[in-house]
Amino acid sequence: MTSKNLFLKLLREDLKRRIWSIALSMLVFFLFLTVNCALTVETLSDPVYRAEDWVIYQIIKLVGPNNEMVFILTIISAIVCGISGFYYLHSRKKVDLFHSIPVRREILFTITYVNGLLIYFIPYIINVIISVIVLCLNHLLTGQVLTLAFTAIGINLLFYSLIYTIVIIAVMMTGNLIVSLLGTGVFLLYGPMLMMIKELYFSGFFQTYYESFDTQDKIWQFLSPIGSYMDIANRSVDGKDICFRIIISFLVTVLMIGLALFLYRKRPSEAAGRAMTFARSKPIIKIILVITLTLGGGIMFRNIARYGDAGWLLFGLVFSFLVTYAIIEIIYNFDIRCAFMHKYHILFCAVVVTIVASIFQFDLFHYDSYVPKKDKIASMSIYVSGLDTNLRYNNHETGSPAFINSSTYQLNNMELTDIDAAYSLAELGTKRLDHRFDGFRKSLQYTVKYTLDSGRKIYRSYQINIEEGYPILKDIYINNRFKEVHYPIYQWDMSLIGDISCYNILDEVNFSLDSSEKKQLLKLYKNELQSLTLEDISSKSPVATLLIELNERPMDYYVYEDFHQTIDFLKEHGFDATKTIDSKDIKQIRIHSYNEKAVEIMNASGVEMDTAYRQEDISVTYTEQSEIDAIYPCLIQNEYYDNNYLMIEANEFIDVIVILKLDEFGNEQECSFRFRMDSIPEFVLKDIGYSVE
Amino acid sequence: MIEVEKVSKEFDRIKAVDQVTIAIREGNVFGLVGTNGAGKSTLIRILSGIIRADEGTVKIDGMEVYENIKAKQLFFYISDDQYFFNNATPKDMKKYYMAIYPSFDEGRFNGLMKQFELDQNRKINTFSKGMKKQVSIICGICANTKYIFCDETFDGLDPVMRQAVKSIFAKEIAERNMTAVIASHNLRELEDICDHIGLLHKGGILLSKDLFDMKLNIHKIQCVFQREENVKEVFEGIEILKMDKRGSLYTITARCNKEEIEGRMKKISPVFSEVLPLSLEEIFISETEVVGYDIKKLIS
Repeated sequence: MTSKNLFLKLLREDLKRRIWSIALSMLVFFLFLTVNCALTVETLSDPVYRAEDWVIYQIIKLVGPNNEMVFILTIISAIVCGISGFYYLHSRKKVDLFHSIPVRREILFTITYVNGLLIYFIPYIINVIISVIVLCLNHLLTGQVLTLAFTAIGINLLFYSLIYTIVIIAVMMTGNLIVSLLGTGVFLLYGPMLMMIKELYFSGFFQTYYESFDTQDKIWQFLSPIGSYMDIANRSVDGKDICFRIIISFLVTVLMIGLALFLYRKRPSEAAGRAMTFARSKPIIKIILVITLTLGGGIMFRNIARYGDAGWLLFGLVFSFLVTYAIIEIIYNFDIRCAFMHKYHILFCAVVVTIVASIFQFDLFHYDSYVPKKDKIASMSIYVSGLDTNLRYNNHETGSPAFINSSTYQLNNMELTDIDAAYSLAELGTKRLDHRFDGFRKSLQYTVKYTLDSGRKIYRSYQINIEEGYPILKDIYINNRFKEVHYPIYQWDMSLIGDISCYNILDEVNFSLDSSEKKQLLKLYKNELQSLTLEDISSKSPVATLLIELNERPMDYYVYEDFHQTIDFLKEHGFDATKTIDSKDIKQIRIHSYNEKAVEIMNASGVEMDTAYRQEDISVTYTEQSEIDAIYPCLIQNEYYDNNYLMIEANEFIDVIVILKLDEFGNEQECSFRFRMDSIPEFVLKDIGYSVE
Repeated sequence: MIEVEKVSKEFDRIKAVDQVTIAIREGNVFGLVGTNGAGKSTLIRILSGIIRADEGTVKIDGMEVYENIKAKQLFFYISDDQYFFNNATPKDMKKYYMAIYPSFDEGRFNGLMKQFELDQNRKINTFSKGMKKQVSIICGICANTKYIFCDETFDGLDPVMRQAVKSIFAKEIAERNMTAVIASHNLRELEDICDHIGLLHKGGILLSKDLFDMKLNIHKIQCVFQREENVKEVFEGIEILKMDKRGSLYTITARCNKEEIEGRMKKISPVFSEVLPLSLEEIFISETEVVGYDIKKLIS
């Protein structure tokens, strides 16, 4: 009999035995894809859902790569098929049959492996095809939907294969169902667990640790197929490039298949029923797990208990060490008396844990106070929080509409070569490590990235008093390179710029500009933005806001009163930014104060026990012109304050609503303001009973 | 021919098989006997290529067995607890083995299933232990392989079935020169079927001998002599393995053939004499006592 015939016959025989899993897989996919699709289509056929984009979004959520249900089903199917397919290796009885017959182990492996793939692939693809047909019959199948459906098939099949193969490797390395499941958990989640513990240690022990915006993503994606799967599925829907990641995932899958086959060939049949198949892997896995879980347990107790308590850290470390070591040895030996076997392993783990914990507890490497030598720094980037928070950033090279976090963008792109001011600010940060902030005083929070001559990148976050940091920050702000990156308008590709409009409280104009006019407006604006200073931001209010569409995404840019050329341009095109609110146009001003009043708590004998605080909110409305005239100049628009809260001193405990009369027909507009700090008129303070204390 | 040379196997630092050397000729029934934990199953699993020996070589018709498909095509292994697929019927198992063993005899399978009164369409998991054994033996026989390896195969079969299986084995050996290796802890079970016996103890092989030769050259003589001097005269030059005397009745186990001892007895005209063959168990007791083992403790 030829090998091909034998292979096909055995494939069929194996598939017959696993018919239950195909039926189950078909049923689940039928419910969650086909039936779900039919139900959604029926719901969307209701005329109330007219927004085409929203309908397409719902359809993509069904058949596209970001269908959470399919994501979960893929992972569960991979685990079930991986374990059920190769579970026979855990039974001596079954191994005796399969390994005594005249069939090569490679063929046995391939048969079981391929059937495990088919159990998922066939029901999934059939149900996607049915769903696509349902969409097509209902005229909901667009090119985008079809492309994403195919992308989803590719991504789901690839990551099913990867996770399934990893589960098989866990089964190969173990000889018992429970240990296989634990092994699967370790292989799929060890990377994220390690990263999470690392993050907890760095953020828990080091004040200057920079926790980037994408930390959660990084944790999940570290050595975890589940994280990569999630990331690629989301990226594909967002229109981001996933080719490189797909190629890497494919190569990893191929490598994993090779490793699984290698382990299958090397796996001794007598391993059935044992905890671990390969004696050599036992101490390695044990030591890695014990060290990681012990450190995890230590930081967990430290964080749960009084934050930063070294005693609880020590307790957590000792407790976790004893428990994890004992559990692993008991699992290895199926014998509780073996809990503390291998004294040298215990010693080794204890030493490593002690060293790692000491490094963090005592900052042995001076992480917080470290500043690279100035002559070794090639460039620095700086991100200041609370400054122009309205700005949106995207990848200016690819023009992708997806937003990038502001700190990530600025730190990645700024690269200041004139580093004197930034370096001084960083040094100042290291000198104020012990400074405590009470939450009421404004602090300057900033992150610095050092790029060394060697190419190494170092990140640190600092917090200092604004008064102390302001003089240096002023210098950094006027650095052209800082501005060019801080305001991404300088990097924009003109061809991606769409409609431009301008608005303020009084007016809004959508311009009809040709490309040369757009170019001219942006040139004027950018020139004037170069001369903007921090003093301007803190002391002045913008007279208008430019709304520029970049790749169909609106971007806000403030126009200040000193931007004369820009204001002239706007005026020429129908928007008068010089026109400001006349206090006569204000119908009334409502002030709401959030007061807290101290209340003494007495016991039954009238003896003071404690002090509590009671909320006493007061609202006052002013309609007298003289009062309005006195109040309005002290106000700053709330939105502007929120976007520049670092630079503006305003009272956060008093809300101000200004009601404008728009026309003679009685139309009104409400605008939200705040009082600039220390500029509240006396009569207002008196009316609301406000006390600075 | 199966050649096992200095094979050793260790599990968790416990020697399961220790430097075992045996040779099994074609057309023979080789009985592998020993107590529980003697290493019989391990040795037979090594023979079947399921587990790899730590040391030594196992060759079937000159070919190494482990991961050698050509060698594996020559035998069928019946384990002490044969695995049948979940919800499988004998018919399903037949189809599976037909895919694996090209010479599987479907007609013979159907015939034997009828002969043993087993329903081919009934789920095997509803069968009794003995019936499952019968299915596994039928599968093994019908695979038509040159060698068949059985681990505690007769355990669980009732006496009638045991004899039926033995006669099938005998037929296969006679018709197609099949070679069987049967591991058992029960000597009586193997006595009427084996040609050669290998006795395992604590992983090592105590002895490996041809059963016919052993039976031919060892006898038990019960006699009453006319004079005491006749004992020395009769057994001069014959190795006496054991001698008991109760009153004037001697019971002597000696290494000699029947004709020779009967001839010597005739010469001295004893009051009473009888030359009896030894059971396999008695032979083993005698042989192993010679090499210093208290065999009664070793075998049942």
